[in-house]
Amino acid sequence: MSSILTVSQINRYIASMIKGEKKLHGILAAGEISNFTCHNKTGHLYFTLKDSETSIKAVMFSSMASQLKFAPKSGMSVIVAADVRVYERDGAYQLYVTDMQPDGLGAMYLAFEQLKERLSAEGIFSTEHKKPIPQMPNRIGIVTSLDAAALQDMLKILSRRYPVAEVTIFPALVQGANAPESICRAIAQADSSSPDLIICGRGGGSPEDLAAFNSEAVARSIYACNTPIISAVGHETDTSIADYAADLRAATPSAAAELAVPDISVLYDKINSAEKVLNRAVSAAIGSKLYRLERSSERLEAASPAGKLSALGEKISAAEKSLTSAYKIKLQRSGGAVAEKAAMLESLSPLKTLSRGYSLVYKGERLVKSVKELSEKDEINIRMSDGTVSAIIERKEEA
Amino acid sequence: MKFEESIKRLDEIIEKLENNETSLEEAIEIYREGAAILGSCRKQLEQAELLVTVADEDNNDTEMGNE
Repeated sequence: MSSILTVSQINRYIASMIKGEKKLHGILAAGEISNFTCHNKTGHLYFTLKDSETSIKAVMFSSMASQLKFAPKSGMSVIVAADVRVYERDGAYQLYVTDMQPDGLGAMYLAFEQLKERLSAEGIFSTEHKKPIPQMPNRIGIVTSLDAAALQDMLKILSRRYPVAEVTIFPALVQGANAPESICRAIAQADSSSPDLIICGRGGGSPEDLAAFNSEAVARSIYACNTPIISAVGHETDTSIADYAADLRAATPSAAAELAVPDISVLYDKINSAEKVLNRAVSAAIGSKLYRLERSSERLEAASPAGKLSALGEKISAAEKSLTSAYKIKLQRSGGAVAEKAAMLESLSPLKTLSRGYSLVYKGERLVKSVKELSEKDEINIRMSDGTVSAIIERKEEA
Repeated sequence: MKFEESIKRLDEIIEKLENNETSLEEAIEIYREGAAILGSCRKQLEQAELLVTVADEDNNDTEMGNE
């Protein structure tokens, strides 16, 4: 006989069985909502999903429910994305809904989700692939319909914000069966003209109108585009496959134009600040040169011959002084000796002899040393110590 | 010069001016160039009018009046 189980054990076991069943995870289910309630406080949604035969309980927690783009209510046909799990307390299995779409779009929604998943797995949406959007695109390509209001909105904004740009429009059908091919061709054409940036999009419309931007072909040509590309499809709420593939998603074409270019006031600011920086930089550059010049000039002065000259001058005058004083000393010393010699010299002077009574006799300039040199009537000069007299020889006697 | 090229060139000039190795002659010369670029940028902004063309399918552009 088998052992006796508690109710909790049974429910826990069934819960784990169901949890382990992969087929019950991430399922998409279609049905009609009934018994719909939205919990006042928590915001969780509780309802029953039913078809003509059966029904299943469903809960959608507020974190997911707040993402819904429509308001579900009883009687509405929907497709839900959900996991089947057991609510152990009640022993009830139910759908834990993660997403929900009105069933009018059922097939399209399914296709969308599947394509998104496939392309995502392939890396078409990967962030590593995203190219940076240039800050100041000079040439902008716009892929859209020529007669759409969206185009005029974009041109108006570009013209207001960044009139220095050049815009080339690559016309494309943006709805209808031929739209995907037309968009792809326009993107490729725009890309081959190698602009700085491409904006690809259209204004809002019904889901059918936007279908081209949910096509695989468009996603792939956006992925293949070498130019940074901003997608701008429809209104704020719809994210298209094209949006996922693009380098940047703008909620609307107008928003794309805003995101694409800087505003002219920012450009004026940039120019003004560049001017300030430029002026400051050149003053600093000149200032630093001046500083260097002053330093060099100081060094030059320090090393100049003028400095050496004055140092030399000082040496010279010092030498001159010491020379003078040495000379004076020498002179003083010599002074005594000179006086002595002068006295000696004086004592030897013939004039001194004269003072003792001797005289010198000159005939003209010549000193007379012998009587023989003289004749009668000769004029002679006799020099004595205190003067000279002239005489005429009257008589001569030789000794 | 295209507007964004001008801005790029201005950045280069400022960088050069801020570099101490730049000779005085060059600093003065590129400052002159920078001042001229600033003037032409202002003029560009004042006179700019968005140039819009429509590409036809053979890649030939045709002008289109804006507004």
